[in-house]
Amino acid sequence: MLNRKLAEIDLSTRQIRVQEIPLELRRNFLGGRGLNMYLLYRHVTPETRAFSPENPLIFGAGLLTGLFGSRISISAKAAESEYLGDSNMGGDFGAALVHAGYSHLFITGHSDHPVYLFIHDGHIEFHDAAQLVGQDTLTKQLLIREKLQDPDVKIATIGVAGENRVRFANIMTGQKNAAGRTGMGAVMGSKNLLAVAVKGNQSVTISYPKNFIELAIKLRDQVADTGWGKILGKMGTPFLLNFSNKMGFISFRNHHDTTLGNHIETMKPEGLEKFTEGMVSCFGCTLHCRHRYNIKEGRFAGTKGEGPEYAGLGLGTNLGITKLDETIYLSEVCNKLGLDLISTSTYVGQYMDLFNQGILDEESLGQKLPWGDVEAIEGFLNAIANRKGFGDVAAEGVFAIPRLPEKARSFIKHIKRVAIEPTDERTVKSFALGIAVATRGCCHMRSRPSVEVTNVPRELLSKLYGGDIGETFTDYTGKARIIWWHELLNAVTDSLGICRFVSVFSTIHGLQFKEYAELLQAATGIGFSPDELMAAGERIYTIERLFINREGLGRSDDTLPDIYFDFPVPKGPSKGEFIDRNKFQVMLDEYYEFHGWDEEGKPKDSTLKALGLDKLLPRASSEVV
Amino acid sequence: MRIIVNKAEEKCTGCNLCAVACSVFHFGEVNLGLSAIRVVKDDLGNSVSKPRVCIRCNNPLCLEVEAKKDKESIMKEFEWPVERLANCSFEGLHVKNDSVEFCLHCDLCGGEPQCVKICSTKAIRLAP
Repeated sequence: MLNRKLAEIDLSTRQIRVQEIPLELRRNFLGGRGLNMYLLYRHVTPETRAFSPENPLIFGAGLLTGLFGSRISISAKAAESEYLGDSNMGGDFGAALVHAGYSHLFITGHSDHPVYLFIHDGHIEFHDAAQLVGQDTLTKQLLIREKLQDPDVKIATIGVAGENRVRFANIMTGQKNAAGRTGMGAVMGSKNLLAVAVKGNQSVTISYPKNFIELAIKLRDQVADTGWGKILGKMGTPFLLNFSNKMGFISFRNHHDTTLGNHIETMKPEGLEKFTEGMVSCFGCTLHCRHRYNIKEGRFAGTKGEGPEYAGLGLGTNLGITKLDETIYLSEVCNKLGLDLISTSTYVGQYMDLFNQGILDEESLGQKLPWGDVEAIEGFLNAIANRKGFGDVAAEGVFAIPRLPEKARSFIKHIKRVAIEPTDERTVKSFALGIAVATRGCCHMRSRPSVEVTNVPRELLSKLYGGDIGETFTDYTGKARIIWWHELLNAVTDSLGICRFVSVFSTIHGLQFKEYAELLQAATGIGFSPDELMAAGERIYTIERLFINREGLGRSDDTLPDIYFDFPVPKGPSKGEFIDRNKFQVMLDEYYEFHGWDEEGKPKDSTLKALGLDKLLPRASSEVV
Repeated sequence: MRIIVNKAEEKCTGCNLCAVACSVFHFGEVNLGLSAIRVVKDDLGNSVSKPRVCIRCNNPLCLEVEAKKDKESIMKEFEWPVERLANCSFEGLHVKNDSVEFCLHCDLCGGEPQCVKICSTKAIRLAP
């Protein structure tokens, strides 16, 4: 038994039950996202609504979180889609939760007044949160530290958007770490739970201490010494914009263009340097990819914090912003309000498009929304977070569609009711397949094989993926194999609590199954072969698929918005690129085959048996684990 | 030999792997409360992170009252009486978890400090 426990917390009755997590479950689902998915499958049915008290909000730190990384997955029935909700964040919170004695929190019920949880060295307390209501995500954290008179507590919290159940509200920790997609902040807000504060010095035993330290140093160098590791440590993810813009992979003004054209001159990520005040790491990570920024002059003087990420720059480009300080400022507004940057960027971009095409006017939107207008965008973000005027409609995300005029409805583009992203996947076929099949709805993080578009020779990539992957990233050959492989790797990575950027994401030298097996052996003494870990990834991904199958999703939902199929990129470096409908269907067939699913995208009985899910899933559901 | 926190302390990114390595090396456990190096991280502000560890100053005030004892052997000890902590001006000693008796003092891991080895930005280094 490992000394990281699960706490069931009922906010309605204030009952708490602490449980050990059986080793058998660790062997099968590891921790983090894997265990979350096991719990979600057992306790959430198609009838469970995101905002119903019985919907469990599950915090799951990875099996190596607090030791060699700090990622934590937060899962529930999704507010954004009413399907699979799952999001993952870095920072220091996940590690601190493990050091407080818990890897998993299973939170149900609804508090009759606003509360926050304080978890310290095994103890769990309910604290009144009246003072926190209406405060932004940073202020909430500062107030809790002040109230507890403890500068060391780490806090996960929601903003006003979460309090108001905006369907794409996030959960945040620190200045910019967000569990962003699928609306976990709204689920938390629906429970009247405004924050979780954690602290502790509970020991996590390391089975082979000497090996663990040596391995941590070796693996640090393996990633940090790559070109990817070096530039990420210096510039963070914004450096990706140069390449993506050059290739035509971005969205400018709601996918009207896939490149910034001349505007790149004022959006070059190198320009962020003048705002940067050093780089920061998440707990236990050697890559230090986060910027600290401080805008000292001009209109936004006084704005400081962390970021922006590449996705934050996408917020800018998608809304027609062409200045870095304006982009930083708006990304900060989203973080403070507790709005998921990616979904927010897409929904707001779609409403701007509707305004600029004259389909929704100033009267119906309650304001003007010209491209690139910072004040107008900030006003709209505030309206959404506070559900004021038309913001109350926009706050519904995809569920706003029936409330829009007929002509406007097709503008709200989504996959499995989760907003598409401010990137454009018409060129790279693996990227397109990845977002179409992602279990949590449109999402690049379930699989994004960025390494495929780097200059790594195709032969090496074929070796990595174990088969033919085609001649270029624009053909359709072997792309199903790539997506399948990354889905399994990412499921394991999230279940261990390690960051994507340390794994095989943009560098072929990133950590994968072999290194994870070594780390697990040294840290926990649990022996896995690389193949067994890959099978754990398949088990976790398959349980997610079973979950969404049960919600009624199948092959016809593994698709893309029409712009991907019917509107080739009009100009720029990716001109003419689109997704061929027939070839897409062939990719889907191949993809299901790799997973052992039938032609409708349902896991076959033989697959369930091979993964042991036929025996693991029917356990009595009266017990949480 | 002593550990030096690099000038202006600007290199520390707050990853805390130094503290992880320290507690794992000495106790076989990850527990920041069992580490002789602690990182002050301003995660909600913009100040740079600060590693705090015994820097083996020339005239250690922490040992002043024990002047007659063999300082060399004391410096090799990892667990010290907690009373010495109050006299350190550099925040270089830290209470051992929730102990009321002991604080933790950097023993340089017997010659090869693990924190220095694991630090990826060389925010801390070993100096003669």
